[in-house]
Amino acid sequence: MSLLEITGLRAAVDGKEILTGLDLTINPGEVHAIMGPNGSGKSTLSHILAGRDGYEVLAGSVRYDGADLFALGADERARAGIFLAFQYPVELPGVTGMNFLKTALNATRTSRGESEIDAMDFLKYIRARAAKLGVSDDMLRRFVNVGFSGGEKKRFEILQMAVLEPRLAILDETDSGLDIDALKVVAEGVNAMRAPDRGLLVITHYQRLLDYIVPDHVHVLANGRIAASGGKELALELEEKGYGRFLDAAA
Amino acid sequence: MAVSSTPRRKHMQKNHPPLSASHPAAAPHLPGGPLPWLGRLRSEAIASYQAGGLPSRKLEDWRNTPLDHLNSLNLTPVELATPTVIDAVPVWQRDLVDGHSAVFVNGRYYPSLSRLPDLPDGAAIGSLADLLETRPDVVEDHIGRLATIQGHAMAALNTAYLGDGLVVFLPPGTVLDHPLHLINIAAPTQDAVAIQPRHLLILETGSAMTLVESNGGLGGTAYLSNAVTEVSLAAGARLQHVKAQLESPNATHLATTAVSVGEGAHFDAFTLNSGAALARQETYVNITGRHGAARVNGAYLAAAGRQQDNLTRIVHDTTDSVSRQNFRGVIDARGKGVFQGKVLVKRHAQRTDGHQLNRVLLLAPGARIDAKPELEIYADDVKCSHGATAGELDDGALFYLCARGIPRPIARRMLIEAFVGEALAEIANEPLRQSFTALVREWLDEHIGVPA
Ligand SMILES: Nc1ncnc2c1ncn2[C@@H]1O[C@H](COP(=O)(O)OP(=O)(O)OP(=O)(O)O)[C@@H](O)[C@H]1O
Ligand SMILES: [Mg+2]
Repeated sequence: MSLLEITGLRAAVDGKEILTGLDLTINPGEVHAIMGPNGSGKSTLSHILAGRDGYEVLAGSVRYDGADLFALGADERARAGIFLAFQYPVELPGVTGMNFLKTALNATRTSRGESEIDAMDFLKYIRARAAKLGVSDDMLRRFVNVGFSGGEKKRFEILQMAVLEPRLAILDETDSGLDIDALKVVAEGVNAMRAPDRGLLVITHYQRLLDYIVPDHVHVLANGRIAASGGKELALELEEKGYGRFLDAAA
Repeated sequence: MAVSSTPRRKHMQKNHPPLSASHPAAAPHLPGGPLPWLGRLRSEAIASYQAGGLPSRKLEDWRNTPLDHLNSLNLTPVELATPTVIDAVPVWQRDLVDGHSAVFVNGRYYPSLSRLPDLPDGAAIGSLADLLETRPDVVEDHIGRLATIQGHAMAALNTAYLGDGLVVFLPPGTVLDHPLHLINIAAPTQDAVAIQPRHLLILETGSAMTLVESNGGLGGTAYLSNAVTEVSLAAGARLQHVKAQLESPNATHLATTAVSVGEGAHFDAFTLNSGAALARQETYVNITGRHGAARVNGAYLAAAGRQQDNLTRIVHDTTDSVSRQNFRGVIDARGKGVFQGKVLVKRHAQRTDGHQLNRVLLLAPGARIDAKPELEIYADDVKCSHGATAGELDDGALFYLCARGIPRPIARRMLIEAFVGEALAEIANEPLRQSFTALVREWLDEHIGVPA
């Protein structure tokens, strides 16, 4: 069974149609990349999958693990294993990173009928993952994303993914704002998550990320639909020639 | 009939505002009764109160604060009510702080439950009623110097009934290592009583202490607590005053704090207002000495149908003084908050550094905040600012939490707690901050709910 199956998805924001008939299937173990011009609807797609309010689904369906995704609220989707690394992570003044991660982890555990994680075990669990991503204890004691640099925010997103161990991770421009070293660290973190039962959807503008996280499939999102799909060589072609031909084709 | 009865009621109100007709009967029961200066002070005060009655909503400062319910409560001065006996301090109050305590029940000192510190020579902590017996001259020297009666009906009423409260006198250089906990317990009988504590803190040059104050009530009977606190800080003196107002749900809590800050002295106040049906904290700070500093911070939580008021007046009356105000309010559906904050910088008060911020979270439609931040500046070389915001919980933040698997009610609760936490962060003392955080959590448990 497919992990994610999007069929004929049309969606609007404030009466403006952004997704105009999008089809995409992701099977367990696969890594898909989506590239596309600014404003083509990449983040819109990721928000709709994560369950953000404010989007009107006009037509089509999304099945996750065989079931209707739209029947679930945002928190239920997350607990069912969908994770979105935000393009613009949100500041949470007053909420420390530790408290945030612990509450999130326990929400998933208790919904599965497991007990809340013991405080000492939690610390070990977090520290092991944070160290790999270069997230310091100090960052975890601070308020979530408040005063974080662009790169720190992205690393903290990936830490959340490592902590929650999702089945479908959507990374919305996780590479933007990262320096070369940080890009490697983050890519390693993502690659470590690759697993036969896990799917990955990587949204990016830069072919470079795909040198580190090598995708099985690359798609071009233009004018609200998948305009072309191919292997990793499609990313190289886009890098060279831009999006012109897909925009023309759709117009 | 309604038409003909209206003028008569008005007429009666004017002549007999609550607690004025009973004053002559109560006066002989007040401590320090025969002292002539005190008799004069009380008569002056009751006359001033009677002339205007309860503060009306026609007064700018009371525009959003109705006190009409006090007219119909049939308030009895606590001096004329059946005395109450209690045998323990409520647990939440007892556990608020680890330190010495001065317990007042219905405004009267309760020695059997109090635990006062051993003090160096010349220092005094105790009850105003006792001091009126032993050293009335000391009381006469200090009482009523800072809390103004004219134009302040509630302070006038308190002065008319002035009799007991906490007195602290610290001679130069005295530093108390442990916090002193002022515990005010309202224990009304069947009567709706009026309790009018009068506290006095005199900190001489270079002395310092932390005063934790908690206010709570037993049972559900309505009562009025109308307190006045006068604080005099001499050069280099430091007072940290952390107050929790958690009165009974039917109580009216009105409090006036008047402070004078001398050269290089520090007044550092935090007030948590979350109890009572209607609560109002008025804080008047006069910075008269160079490099004097005042921090006046607070959190106010207004549950459905309740009202929490804050009024601050910081007067910079000298050069190089500093004031900081950071208030956060959380207002639930049908709750109401009022913030009237003023920083006044006099003409000669150059290099004043004064900032004020009031931020409010409205939890539901029908939650209401009336905010009036004011800067009145007559000096030309100052750094001053004020800000006020009011809004709902941030959708983006809620979604972010939900997208991590956190159920919406828990996410909401986390964000509210985080919002208030940024005011609680002003409490420098770590154990105290934790105690106050626990109080806020209890309020959230009760009014916002603990999601399963
Ligand atoms: N609330 C809104 N009201 C109107 N238009 C909106 C709203 N939100 C998004 N849009 C529009 O939807 C379109 C798609 O936006 P989206 O953020 O999905 O693009 P994107 O592909 O992620 O772009 P980028 O590469 O810049 O991140 C844009 O034209 C954007 O302006
Ligand atoms: Mg985007």
